[in-house]
Amino acid sequence: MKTLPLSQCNKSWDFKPLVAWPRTLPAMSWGSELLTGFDRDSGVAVDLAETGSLVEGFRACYASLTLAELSRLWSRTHPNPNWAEHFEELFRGYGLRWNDELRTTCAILAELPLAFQNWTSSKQLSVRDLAPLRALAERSQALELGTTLVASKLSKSEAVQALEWAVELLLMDRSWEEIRPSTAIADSRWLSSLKALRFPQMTSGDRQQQQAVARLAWPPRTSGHWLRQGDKAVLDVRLQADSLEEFRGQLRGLQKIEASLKDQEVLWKK
Amino acid sequence: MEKIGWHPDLPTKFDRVYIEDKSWNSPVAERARRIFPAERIERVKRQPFPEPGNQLSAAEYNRSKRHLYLCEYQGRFFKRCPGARPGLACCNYFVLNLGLGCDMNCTYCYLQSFLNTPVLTIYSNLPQALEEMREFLLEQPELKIRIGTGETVDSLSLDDLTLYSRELIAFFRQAPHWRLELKTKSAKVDQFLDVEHAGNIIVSWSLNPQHLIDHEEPDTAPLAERLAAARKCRAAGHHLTFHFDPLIYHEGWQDHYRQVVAEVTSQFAPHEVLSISLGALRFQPEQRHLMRERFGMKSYVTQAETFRSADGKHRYDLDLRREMFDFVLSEFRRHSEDWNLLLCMETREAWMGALAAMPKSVPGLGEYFNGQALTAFREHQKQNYNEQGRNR
Ligand code: SF4
Repeated sequence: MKTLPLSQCNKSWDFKPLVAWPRTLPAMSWGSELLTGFDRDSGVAVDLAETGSLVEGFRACYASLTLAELSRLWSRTHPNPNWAEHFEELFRGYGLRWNDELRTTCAILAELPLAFQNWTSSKQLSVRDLAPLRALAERSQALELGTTLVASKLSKSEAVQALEWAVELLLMDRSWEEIRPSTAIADSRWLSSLKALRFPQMTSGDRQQQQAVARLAWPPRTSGHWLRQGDKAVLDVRLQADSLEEFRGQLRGLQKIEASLKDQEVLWKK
Repeated sequence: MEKIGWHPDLPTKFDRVYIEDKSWNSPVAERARRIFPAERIERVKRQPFPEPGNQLSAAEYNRSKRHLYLCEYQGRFFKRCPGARPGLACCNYFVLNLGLGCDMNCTYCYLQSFLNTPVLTIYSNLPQALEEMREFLLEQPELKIRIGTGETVDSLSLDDLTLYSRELIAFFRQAPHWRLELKTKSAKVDQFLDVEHAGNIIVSWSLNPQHLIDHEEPDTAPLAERLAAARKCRAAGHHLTFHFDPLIYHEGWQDHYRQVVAEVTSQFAPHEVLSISLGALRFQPEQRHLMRERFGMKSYVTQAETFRSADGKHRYDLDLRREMFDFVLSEFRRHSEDWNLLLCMETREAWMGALAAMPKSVPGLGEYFNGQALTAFREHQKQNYNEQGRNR
C-alpha cells in the first residue's frame, strides 16, 4: 500500500463533500490528487492509483453523493484527462445518466453559491426539478431566487413549483421586485402569489366563481364550493341529513339554488 | 424521376447529411447525393452522434434539425395509431413511420416529448414498408382502412428529397378502398401531382392564422402557400382535410381565427374538404422544460395557462377549450352547415360541450373509423409474430 505525506498532495479536486471523511481513516488519494480528507493539513494519504480505476477508487470512498456534490466534482475535474472520459461511468454509479442535459445542469449548479447547492442536496432535488434553471440566462436572477429558496419554509414540492413559476415569470419580463415574497421568509403564501401572477386568468376566474358560489343561500348543513380540478373547475356540493324530513328540506333549498345558478353566467360560461 | 426538382432551400437546409453504408445506394441516398453539396455529405457506419439515452437536451434538439441521417429502419413500419386508445375521442387509424424528426420547428411540437434521436432520420428502405402493407392487403382484401405517414415526421416537408409520396400514391392504386393521408405544414406538392392515383389520397394541412405561424411555427410554409398547395391538390383530384390543430389562445385569437376560416371558406367549398378537425393546445408535462429552454417564455405556448387534464397532458381550462372550439365551429357553420367538422385528440367532455358530432357520425368517414380495422390488424400482427417465431 503506497502512502504519500499530505503536504505532497494536491487539493484541487476538493468538491466539498457534505459528509466529512472519518477521522479514524487515513485520507485517500489518486496519485498526488487528494480524494478524501480535504480538511486535513497533516498526515498521510493512501494512494488508490494502484488498486483499480479512478472511478472505482472514488466510488469506494463515497457510497452516495448528491447531484450538487457531483456537480462540484465535475466542475473541478472535467478538464482533467484522468476524469474526462469517465463521467458516464461515475454518474451511472450514482444512479444518474450522463448526458448533455445533466452536464448543463451540473455547470449551472456548480456556478451557484454553496448554500444553494447544499439546499438542493438537503431537498434531494433532481435534474428535472432543477430544469427551469437551464432556461435562465441571467445568473443574477438565479442568485436572488436561490437565496430566497434557501431561506424559505417551503417543502420540497412547493420549492420545486416556486422555482419553476418564478423562473417563468422572470422570463416573462416580470421584475424580481414584482415576484419576490412579501415576507422576509418565503412560505406557502409566496407560492400562492406566484401562482396568481403566473396564471392570472385562471386565478381571477376561479376567484369570481368561488365568490359567486359562496354568495348563494345554501340550506342548513349543505355547502357548495367551486373547486379547480386540473383543467376544469367543478361545483362541489355536500350535504348531511339525519332525517328524511331534513333531507327533503335541503333538496327544496337546493332547488332554489339551482334556479339562481342558471343565471350565473360567471359559473356557466355556456 | 431525374427531372423532378426540389425546393431551392433544400440543398442548404442541413449542415451535414449522413448516409449509412447500407443505404448508400438507395434511391433516396442517390438523390440526396445529387441535391446536397458533396462536402456536406458523409458516409457513415452508424448514426453519427451518441444516443443521449432518454431525452435530448435543448442544444442537441436544435442541432438535430440541421443534421440529416439516411438509414434503414429495423422495425415494422406499419402500425396502428397511438391515438386510438380509451378516453380519447380519436379515430382508429394506421401509421406508416418513414422517418423520425422534423426540419420545421413548431414551439408546441409533440416530438419534443419523446424524440431521443439526435439527427433527423429518414428511412431509406421504403420497399419494406410497401411490402408490409401489401401483406396486410392480401390478408384483408376487403377491409377499409386509413393510413397516415405524418406521425413521427412531416409527410411532405422533405418529400422533394425522398419522393416517397410518388411510390405511396402508386401503391395505393392497388388498394383503392384504402385511404392514404399525407399530413403536412409544408407546401411541397408539385413532386407528386402528376402521379396517377385511385382517388384515395387525402392531403391534409395543419392550419393556423398567419400571426401564429409567424409566432409559433418557424420554418413552416406560410398560410397562403399551404392553401395554394391545397388548391393544386384539389385540381389534381386529391381529397383534402384541414386540421386546426393546435388552436392556440392569444390576444386577438378570435379575429385571427375568423380570418383564417374566411380564407378557407372563400377558397374551398364544403364538399371539397373531407373533414376539418380541431384540437386545442396540449402537450406532455415533461415537454415544458424543453420548450421553455428552446423558445423562452415569449411563445404563446410556453406562457399559456395550461393544467394537467385527466389523461396527464397539459391543456387549457376546459371552458376556454370549449369557447375556442365553439368559436371556430360556428365561424364555419356561419358560412355553411355542410362543413364536416370534428375534434381530434380531445377528451369526451370537450366533445360534449362543443357543437360538433363525434367522429364516427361524420358523414362519409364512418367506415374508416370503425373498430373492425383495428381487430383485423391485431389479428394480422398476431399471425405475423407467430410466423416470425416459426421462422426463427
Ligand atoms: S411540422 Fe409537425 S413535426 Fe414538424 S415541428 Fe411542426 S409540429 Fe413538429
